[in-house]
Amino acid sequence: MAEKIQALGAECWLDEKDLAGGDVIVEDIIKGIDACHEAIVLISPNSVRSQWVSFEIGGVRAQHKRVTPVLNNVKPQQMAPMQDIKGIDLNKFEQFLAQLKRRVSKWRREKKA
Amino acid sequence: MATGEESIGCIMAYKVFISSALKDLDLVRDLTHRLEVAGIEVHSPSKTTVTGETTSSKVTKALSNADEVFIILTNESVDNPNLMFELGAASSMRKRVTPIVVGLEPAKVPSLIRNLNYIKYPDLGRYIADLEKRAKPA
Repeated sequence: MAEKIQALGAECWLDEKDLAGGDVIVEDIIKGIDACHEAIVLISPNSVRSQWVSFEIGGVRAQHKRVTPVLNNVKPQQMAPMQDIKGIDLNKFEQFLAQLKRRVSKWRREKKA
Repeated sequence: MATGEESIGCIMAYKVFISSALKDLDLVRDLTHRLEVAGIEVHSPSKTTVTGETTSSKVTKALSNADEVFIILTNESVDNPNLMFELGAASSMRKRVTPIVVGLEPAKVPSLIRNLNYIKYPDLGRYIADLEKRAKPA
């Protein structure tokens, strides 16, 4: 997913990539959210009960940024804090990428103007 | 003649948002009472919602109006994703977050909470006394 997003020219902040040993995790996640324009939350049977994923969703929504749940073998209603947001199935990730590409292009045009 | 207070408008109370599981309402009521006695204004989903879950937008709005956020962690709520959502939202808004751990073994306290300075329920009286001093207008 990260590789496909980066191929569109967007930068990706990934918790496992961008958190170094010794970092104060909570502060660094919030700084990561500050720096992003939008967030993608991969929700799988492994992450659906993750305290960190719920924490990150709360952090993004508090900043009124777009957050897209990408569902992998879970139902949207299983992710309590995301129930009011339309998720996409991992099998339809290409559709999301097409929409993201348009947003990245728009952002670039606005930045140049 | 206007008094000093009137000339600067009303003095705002220090506001605390309490995040908890619905099953911990008795603890919320106790905490609310103790805070209100200390002159603290309390907001919690249980005070404004009769039934059902609060929506995340309502919660984030209430959090944005708070000066401090208390998160009550018990055996009932330790795995509750809504509490972690509210913790993330409060942290993202740079609110002061105070987890209150009630009856949990240290090993059961989630790593996210261990990242923060949490207080244990028996120490709450001392914390509220400190808060009362901190919340008093200068």
